[in-house]
Order: sequence, then C-alpha cells, then structure tokens
Amino acid sequence: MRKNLRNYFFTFIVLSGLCISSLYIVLKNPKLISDEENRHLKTFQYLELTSFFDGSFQNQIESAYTDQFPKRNFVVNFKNKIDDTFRKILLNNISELTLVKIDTTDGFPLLRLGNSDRMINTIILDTPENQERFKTRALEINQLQKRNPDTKIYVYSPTQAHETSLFDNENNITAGANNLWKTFEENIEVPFKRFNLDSLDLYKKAYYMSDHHPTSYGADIFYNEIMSMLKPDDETLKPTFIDCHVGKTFYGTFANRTGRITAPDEFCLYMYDIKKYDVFVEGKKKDDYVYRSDFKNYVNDDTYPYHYNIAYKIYDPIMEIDTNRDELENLLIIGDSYSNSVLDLISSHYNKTFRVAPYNYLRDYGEMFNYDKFIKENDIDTVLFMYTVENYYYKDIYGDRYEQNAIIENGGK
Amino acid sequence: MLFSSLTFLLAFLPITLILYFSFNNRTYRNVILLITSLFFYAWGEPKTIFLMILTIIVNYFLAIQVEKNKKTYLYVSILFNIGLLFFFKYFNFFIKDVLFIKNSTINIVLPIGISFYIFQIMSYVIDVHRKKVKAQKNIIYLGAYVSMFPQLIAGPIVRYETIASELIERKETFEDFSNGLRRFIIGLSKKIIIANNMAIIADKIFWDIKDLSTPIAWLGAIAYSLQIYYDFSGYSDMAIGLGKMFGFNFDENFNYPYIAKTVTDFWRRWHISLSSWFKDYVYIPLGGSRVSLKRSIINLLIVWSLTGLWHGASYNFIVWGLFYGIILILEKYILNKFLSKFPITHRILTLITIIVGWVIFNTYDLNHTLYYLSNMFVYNGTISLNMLNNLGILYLWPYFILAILGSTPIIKLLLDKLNKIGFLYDLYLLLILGICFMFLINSSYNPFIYFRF
Repeated sequence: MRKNLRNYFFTFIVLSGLCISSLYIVLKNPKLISDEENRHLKTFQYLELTSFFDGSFQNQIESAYTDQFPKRNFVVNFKNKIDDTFRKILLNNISELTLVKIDTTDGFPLLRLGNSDRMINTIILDTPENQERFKTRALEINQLQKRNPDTKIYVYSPTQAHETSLFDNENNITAGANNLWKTFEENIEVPFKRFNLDSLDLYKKAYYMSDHHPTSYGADIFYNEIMSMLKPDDETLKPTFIDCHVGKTFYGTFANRTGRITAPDEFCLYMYDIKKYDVFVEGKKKDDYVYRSDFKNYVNDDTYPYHYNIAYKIYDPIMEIDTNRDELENLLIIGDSYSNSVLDLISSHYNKTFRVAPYNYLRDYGEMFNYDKFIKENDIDTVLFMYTVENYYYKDIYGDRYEQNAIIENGGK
Repeated sequence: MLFSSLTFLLAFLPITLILYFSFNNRTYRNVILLITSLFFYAWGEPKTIFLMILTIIVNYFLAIQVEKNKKTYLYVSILFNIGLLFFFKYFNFFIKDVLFIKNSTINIVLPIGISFYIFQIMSYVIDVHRKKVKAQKNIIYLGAYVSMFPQLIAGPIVRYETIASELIERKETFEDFSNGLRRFIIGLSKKIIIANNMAIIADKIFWDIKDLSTPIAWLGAIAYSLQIYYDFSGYSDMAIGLGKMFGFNFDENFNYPYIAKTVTDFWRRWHISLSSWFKDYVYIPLGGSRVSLKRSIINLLIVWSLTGLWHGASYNFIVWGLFYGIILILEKYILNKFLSKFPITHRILTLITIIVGWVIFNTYDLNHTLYYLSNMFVYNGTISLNMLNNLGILYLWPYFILAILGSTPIIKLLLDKLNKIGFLYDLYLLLILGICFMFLINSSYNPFIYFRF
C-alpha cells in the first residue's frame, strides 16, 4: 500500500510537472526579446511541410521550448554561479583582481583569456626587447615630427587595466607596462598623455566587463582628455542623454575568447549633438554608414547587431569623416578600434578627419603605410596616435603588431 | 528527436502516454505505439522515415515466406538489409577509401539509427528461420517492434524473441510504470549531467589543443571513455525505462564495464546486445570456437572487424575493432594464463587497453590516433589548475569525479540504500530531473558574442 502511494505520488509529480510546464510554455504570451542575450527569442510556429522536411520546424520548436521556458535567466545565472563556485573551490585565490598567467613554455598560444570576472589581458613583461620597442616607437614619432614640422603630432594612450599596477599586490607581480611607458615618456618629444586608470572603480566604469573596449563613460573621458591636448580652447561636446536600446546587453570579445560566458554588459551609448557629416572609405562615400543618432532606430538582428557596431564599427584601413567646414583643420588619427568610440566626437572639431589603422592597411594593401605622403597629400594639420599598448610591442604567432605599425620615412620607399 | 530534449520531455512523452493509456485495447495500444514511434523517427528524419517503413514492409513479407522453409527468402532478406545498410552507411567509404575512386562519392544522408533497426529486423528474420520465433502476421505489431521509439535510435538491439509475447499480451502495471519512469530519469541524468559535461572536456582536448601534454592527453582520453559510457548507457537506461513504462522488459545493455577484470569480461559488460548479436549471428554461424585454432582466430578477427565497421564507416573503426580482436585472441590463448596470477595488474592493464581503444575510436584518422597515443605514452609537458581553467574545463571537476565513481557500483549501492528509505530516493530523482532541466535550458542560452578580434 505504502509502495503504491509512493509510486502514485512520484509519478504524479513528474508527469504533472511535465504537462503543466508544457502547457504553460505553449499557452503563455511569448517573450520576444532577451535583453540578457541580446537577441530575438524563438516562438512557436505553425507547421509547414517544407519546414518540417528540412528540419527547421523541429529546430524552431525545440528552440521555442527552451527560449520560452519560465525563469530561464534565473536558471542560467544559477548554473553560472554553480560553475563559478566549483572553479573557485580549486582556484581559491581567485579574486576580481587575479591575472591569468599564460606560460608560453607550455605551448599555449597567447590568447585573451581570463578567469576573473573582470577580464584582463596577459601580463606585459618589462623585457629588454619590449623596452627597445617602446623607445623605438617614441623615436619614430619624433622623426615623423621632424620631417613634418608644420604638422602637430600628439600621442594618447587609452590605458587598459593590465598596464597598471592595480593588480600587482594580488598577483605578487610588478606590472611591466609602467616601466615601458616610462621609457616611452623619457624619449618622446611630442605631447603625450595616458589615460590615468588609477582605481578599480574607474576601470569598472570606463571599460566593459566582457570586452576590452571602453564604455560610453570611458570614451567620454578619452575624448575630453584628447581635446584638452589637441584644442584646449575648444568647448567639448557634452552628452545630451544616454540611450540604452532594446537588446541592451552584449557579450564582448573576452566572452568569446574564454568560451565561458560571463555576465553580459549593459550596452548604452551617450548621445551628443553632433552635426551631420559625410563618411568616405577608401575614397568612396559610404551611404550605409550608421551614425550614432541611428542607434535607437535599429532593430536587434541576430546576425548583425547594429547597436554594437554603431559604437565600435568594423574599421577599414582608411576612413574619412568630412564635416564640410573648410575653415577648420584636418586631422589624421592613427588608431585601432579604440579610436572608433571617439571618432565622431573628435572629428566634430575638424574639417576632415582621417582615421588609419596601419596594420589593416598593410594587410589589405601589402605595403607599409606611408605617413609622410599621406600627411602631405591630405593637408594634415594634426596627427594623433591613439591606439592601445599592444601596438607598441605585441607579437605572437599571428603577427607582429609593433612591426606592422612601424613609422618608416616615406613608407620605406 | 532526442530523449534529452525539451520537445521530447514536455511534448512527445506526455502526449504519447496520454494517447497510449487512453485505450485499453492491446491492438489500439500497439497502433498508438507504432504511430508515435514513426512520428518520433520522422521528427528527426522526415525524409528517411519511408526507408524504415519500406524495411518493415519488405521484411514482414519475407519473414512469412521464410517461416514456410523458403530459405531463398532468408537470403533475399539478408541481402536487402545488408544492401540498405551498405548503401546508406558504407557506399562512400567503399568508393573513396577502399577502391580509391576519386570524385565518385554521392550525397547520401545517413539515416539515424539505421544500424540498430537493420540489425534488429535481421535478427528477427533469422530467428524465424531458426524457428526460435514465429513470424509476426500482424504488420502493425511487427512495425511496433522495429520502430518502437524507446530503443529505435540508440538501442539496445532488442531481439524479437525478448518481446514477442509482450507485443501481444503485456501487462502495464503502475509499479512497472513508476519504476520505468525512475529508470528513465537515471538515464537522462547520465546523459545530460555526466556525458555532456565529459564531452566538453574530451572535445576541448581532442580537437582544440595543438600541443598536447601527456597529463592532458590522459585527461582527454579518460573523459572520452566516461563520455561514451554515460552517453550510451544513459540512452540504454532511458530505453529500458521507457520500455518498462509501456510494459516491455528489455535486456540490460551495460554492466559496469569499467570494473571488468579482463578485456573479455569488458565485452560481456559493454553494449551487451551488440556483442551478443555478433556472437549469435556471425561468430557462431562461422563455427565459433568449435573449429580449428586457426579458423577460430580468423572468425574472431572477422567478427571484430565487422564490429568496428558497424560503429562507423572509416578505417579508424576497423582498426579499433581489430585492436580488440587481437587483444581478445592474445588474452584467450596466451595472456590469461600469465595475467590471471596478477589480478590487479590485469585489471589495470585492461582499463588502459579500454582507454587506448577509445582513443582509436574517437580520433578522426590514423595520423591523429598516432599523434594522440604518442603524447599519452611518451611523457611531455605538465598540467596545472590554471591550465585547465584556461581551457575552460576546470569547473567540471565534480562531474569528472562523479563520473568515475558512478562507473563503479558504489553509487548504485548508495542509491539502493536510499531506495529503502523510499521518499528520499524519489526526492533525489526529482532533484536530478530538475538539474537535467537546468542543463537543457542552459545549453541553448545563446547570447550574442561579438567575434571581432
């Protein structure tokens, strides 16, 4: 009797649980967008023979069941917490500030991996080779200035967390980048500024957790610091409001590289009152260019989420922003993706702004970028070097970023 | 459709149970079983469902003729079944890798479960010929036997004689139903909680690492050994559990293979239905061991080559089969006499042999096999917690330990004790069912991850 009761009770709980869950999922109003996952959620579709035969209907149903499962985000977050707990049991010295040391003698390639919640890059080592590279880059810029005396050259470094000493104590190391930048500073003869990343709080505000790019807050700091160097008398643009669009979170490159998904970052853009400008890529006008002001109009697309690209954009080797104000000067930015976040802001102070990514130029054109020729041909009044520390020293099996950015007189010709 | 999917758990299973138990009539229930099974198969294979229906119809008529002592129809049946299997599974391999004819492969989609249901129906026709069973005159019943969804995709290979009487007069009791449900949940948890997590480790190590260190190579090999065991035995548990819910009693398919004392013992514990199929339908008809030593060895090599080939159309699988064939021969005729005096050593060597076998099984070609095995046995490199964390697999350590413990009878003994308390065991099952759902939901969590540099 008791055994029967037990069987009835158990069977009833399991089967009723399955049936009720199923009915609830199918009958409830479907949730259409996941803010956390930044995508459209699948919903139940009507059966069509063609979609049944090609299997897409079945995939849709399975996806709909999982996407529409109640309290899904809670379940996912709960599992992530369990995974983190298991990890921390073995690596119990993990804190927010723990670096991941990648020992290349083990044969693992240098990748951007991390085990802390705040993703950071590999350690920058203060080696003789790196010292030489930082020094040489400073000398190259000095020489460029000497060859182009009518052009004002500036250098801005958007400091990243692993360049600082924020993590030294926790990891019992001395961050190499400080010494390397000291060498650079001792040798550079043009105005030079580094973003003063001096606290973890600032780091959390200025940079995304799952991506190495700056937030709108960080980009605004960069913009203001750069303009205080380039045009201290100009009034800088102030954010008018912050736009957090639907699909307002994302997982950046760190999440991709680790294969372990961290919590998503909120993705919002500061809006500024920027006058309209034209964009040219390799001389051709880009009609499908997405402006910052278009951010809120975009519908989140699973295959190409424009909101992220509005902020960071895929950058071509040579890009031009023309504000059609001939009375202003022309600017050349030698930059990587970090310059994307401030390009439209800085260019509002100039007539034409060119942004060149030298390593992409080399990749696409097969030759070193000719700084001198470009400055002369495009009447460049100001040159701003604004790229990350990797461009000053980094190399791995995929290439030598330092060499790809080399500043050679007349492109070596 | 997979058992370990929300579509199955939340839609197919409840609907099938409701439909099935709505009728009291045996024929109607078998019809429901057939229709739902065909639908189950068509869900994953909408185009090749007709192949299975054709197989059932053809073998139905052939078996009736075979029963009338018309041996020709037996050969026709074997030819037809083997021919289908050859075409869908081995044709391209034969053309490209055996005959080396370039650019002659055709686009053939391998129907899921074809190896299982072809072997199942072949055993039925052969057993009719051997007079072990009577030919089933009701095509619905035969169709229900062949297509029965609990064991259709991944076995066990159910002999017709096992369930012949149950097709006609089984009794679905509530106790069997509940115990079947419990068994199903156990199998589901083996697959989702253990096998899928071992797969993360194994896949990362086998496919993603360019420079393999010895400890990492062993970790990957052990993880794969655990993955394949829990995957397969989990499916078998689910099949047996589901069968029980519908009143069928399938034979056990796994019996803690990793505690085997010898390799021979391992194959009495691993995929029992397959090895017994090959024994009854290939090895014994070839003469088995009741022939000369030379002939017996050849028979074993044939059987094991075919066993390897059954698993997949590539030389790796044949090598894997032959690997075991040779080991079994050596064990039977030479090694046992010596190693039986050192039972612990023999067990350890057996386990190493099994793990090496799985490496051969899992690597994609012989070069990869040699590379992987050389890293296992020629010591190089190290392992560290940071390394494992960088690989993104460190957090899986509890599942790894659980998998190792669960591959021995320890966990089952504990659970049997828990079962005596009754409700605690059921509470445990409900908990692991919840965990399974957690994993299922999480596996489809698909945030946008930006792929730029």
